Amino acid sequence: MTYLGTGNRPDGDVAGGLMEGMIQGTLAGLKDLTKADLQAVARYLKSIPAVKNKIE
Amino acid sequence: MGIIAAGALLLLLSAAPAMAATPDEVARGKYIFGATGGCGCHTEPKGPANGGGRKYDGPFGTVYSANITPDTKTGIGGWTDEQIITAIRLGRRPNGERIVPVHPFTSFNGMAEEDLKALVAFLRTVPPVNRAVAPKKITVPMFESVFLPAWLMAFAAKETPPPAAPVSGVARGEYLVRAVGHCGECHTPRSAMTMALDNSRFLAATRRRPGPRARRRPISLPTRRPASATGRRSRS
Repeated sequence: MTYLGTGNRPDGDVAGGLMEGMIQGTLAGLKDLTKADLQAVARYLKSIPAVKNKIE
Repeated sequence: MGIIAAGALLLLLSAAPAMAATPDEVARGKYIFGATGGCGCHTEPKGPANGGGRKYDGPFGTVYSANITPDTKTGIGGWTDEQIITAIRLGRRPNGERIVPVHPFTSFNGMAEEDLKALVAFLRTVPPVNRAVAPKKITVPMFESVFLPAWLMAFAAKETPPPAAPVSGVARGEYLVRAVGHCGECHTPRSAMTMALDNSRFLAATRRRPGPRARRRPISLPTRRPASATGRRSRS
């Protein structure tokens, strides 16, 4: 929820690139989602199957 | 008397202009606009909001995002609500031309009608920008006549939009992630052969950024913590 609402990652890093643009948005962005909607997104993401897919 | 009054009322109703969007509907549309990530592909870095022109290179050539401001000549100001909604969720322009699925209509396909209507109401409130976008440059022969229609037949999601947007719980989250937020477009791996999403690995990360070039600047939000000491930025 913190990540999508502010771009801050649990490891202290911040979102960059495309995801930064999605969060910041233009006239509005993901940062404007309500707490309830962020919570719903987080609950859904935790409900889908975990996939091991190491990048790089 | 009653009949005359009813007749007068009917006449009044039929003569009234199309219902203007209510402030509530526009606010809802702005919220949905934000939930898509601000339709950010349609705004060039430092360019006018929704003015289009952002460049996207793909294996088929180069396309530029559309001007989605209400400008009547270069934007969508001359389109009806229904035409705009068809472009958003089915990837079809008023002239019948298919929109290359860089525009994530295969995800927006699952958006509820009421949210799309509100989104259109909001788009109409953004200042019009008279700005023609460069035409696409398709380099693959027969891409639009053969390959694109075949790809869309095979891989385009045929979501049944919910009659109403879910309002809470996991269903709400799924709706925001899959349809409105179109997260899978970047976070789900694609087949190297067909470029179709591999939904058996839904949201399981991808190697390359499929979208526009990163802007590489910190997010200026009041609640933002300082970046890590190394100044490293995450990739997504």
